[in-house]
Amino acid sequence: MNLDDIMHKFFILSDDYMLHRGNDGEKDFFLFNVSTGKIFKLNETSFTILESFSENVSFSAVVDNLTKKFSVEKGILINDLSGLMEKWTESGVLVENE
Amino acid sequence: MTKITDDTSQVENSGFYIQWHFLESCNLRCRHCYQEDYKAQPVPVAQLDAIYAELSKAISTWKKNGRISLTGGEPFLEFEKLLHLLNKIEKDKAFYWAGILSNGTLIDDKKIAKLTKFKKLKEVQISIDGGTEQVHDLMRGKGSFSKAINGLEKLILVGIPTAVMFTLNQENAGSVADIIDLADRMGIDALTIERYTPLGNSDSDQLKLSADRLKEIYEQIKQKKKQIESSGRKLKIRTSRPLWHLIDESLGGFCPVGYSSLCIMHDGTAYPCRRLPIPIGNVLNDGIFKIWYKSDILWNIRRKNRMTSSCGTCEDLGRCGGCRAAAYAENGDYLAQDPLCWKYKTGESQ
Repeated sequence: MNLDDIMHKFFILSDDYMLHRGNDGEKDFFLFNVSTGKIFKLNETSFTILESFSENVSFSAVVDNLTKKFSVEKGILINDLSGLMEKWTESGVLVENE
Repeated sequence: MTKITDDTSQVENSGFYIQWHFLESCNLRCRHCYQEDYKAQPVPVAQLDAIYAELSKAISTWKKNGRISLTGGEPFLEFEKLLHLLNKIEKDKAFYWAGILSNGTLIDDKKIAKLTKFKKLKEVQISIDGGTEQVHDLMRGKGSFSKAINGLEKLILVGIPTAVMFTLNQENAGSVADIIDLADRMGIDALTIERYTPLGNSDSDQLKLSADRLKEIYEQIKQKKKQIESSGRKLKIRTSRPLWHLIDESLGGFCPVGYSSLCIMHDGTAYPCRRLPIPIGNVLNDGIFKIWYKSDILWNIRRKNRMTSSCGTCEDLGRCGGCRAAAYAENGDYLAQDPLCWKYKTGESQ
């Protein structure tokens, strides 16, 4: 996925999916597919990234946000996100919000 | 590093219980009944099939050990539909267990003969609200006791496992010992004594129990249960619900509402529990997964630390949690204290 093309696009978590954090203080993170019933266990990093797409913000804003959150260089983060964005948009977890 | 793994298999093989009120109509008008409308139009079979498909899909996807109870209203009023649903369950791998919850008054030999062919029909539960005709009929109407007992006897005769549901309230509390003796004498398999939930019916003030009275009754039940179990007789008195552990550490437990059970009404409306009638969606419009994953009410019930009362800070929270339906009925708040908890009586500080 060419990230330059999508920097100013908006992506949002699909209505078919729901993120869930376990009880306060617990490190349990889940992604539920409310159409198929599938349950996916996430680690905290995946949860944090997907949670960034809960609000209607541009991809570049998500990158800025995550760069601060993870204290990581922007270039490295964008590189890591490339594969994830491809996977999540293809599987319908994230949808482009026109 | 990010990590996402399909975790659906983690919920496999645990149980899930559905109570399906597939019709509203009833031939009785019991004083403690939580039902407000008996006039709903009969549900077309096609709609029942659509609801069933949703329920079956959920249980299959989660690979749960599904149990389902068919009830109403009075399920024997629409016997053909009851048979239709039992046929579907019989052929469906999703459910290994089916039950019928009935008032027992419409059961006859012909109907029983048709029920005996269902291998998955594991229990017919009949509501008996008094150990004597007088007490029962006071709750459920004249003549209902003899008909219900007759129905039970017929079921026992052909070997269909039976259970009795006794709805404990202020007026029949003195009959608890009698109902246990009756169930034991008749050869009933299981007895559930469920406390009355005052859901707005006109007699609720007369029927409401106090916390202290409930404690007394639970003590009585525990003694009778011990006697029966130590003698090796077959009657099982079910005591797995909240507050029981206050009587005996080995009894009681969490209510499954929000974790492993769901109530479905005739039109597909889902409630957390029939006694907690807050609509959380409709399986026909929303699908069962959306209801199960997205309902704030279910999440609030699951997250015990959200409770707004002494239940939330009680040291027994891990094994009790109180009855959320009773809290809702009493306070209009399902996260409030269980009003019948005698450990922290309502209004008293800890």
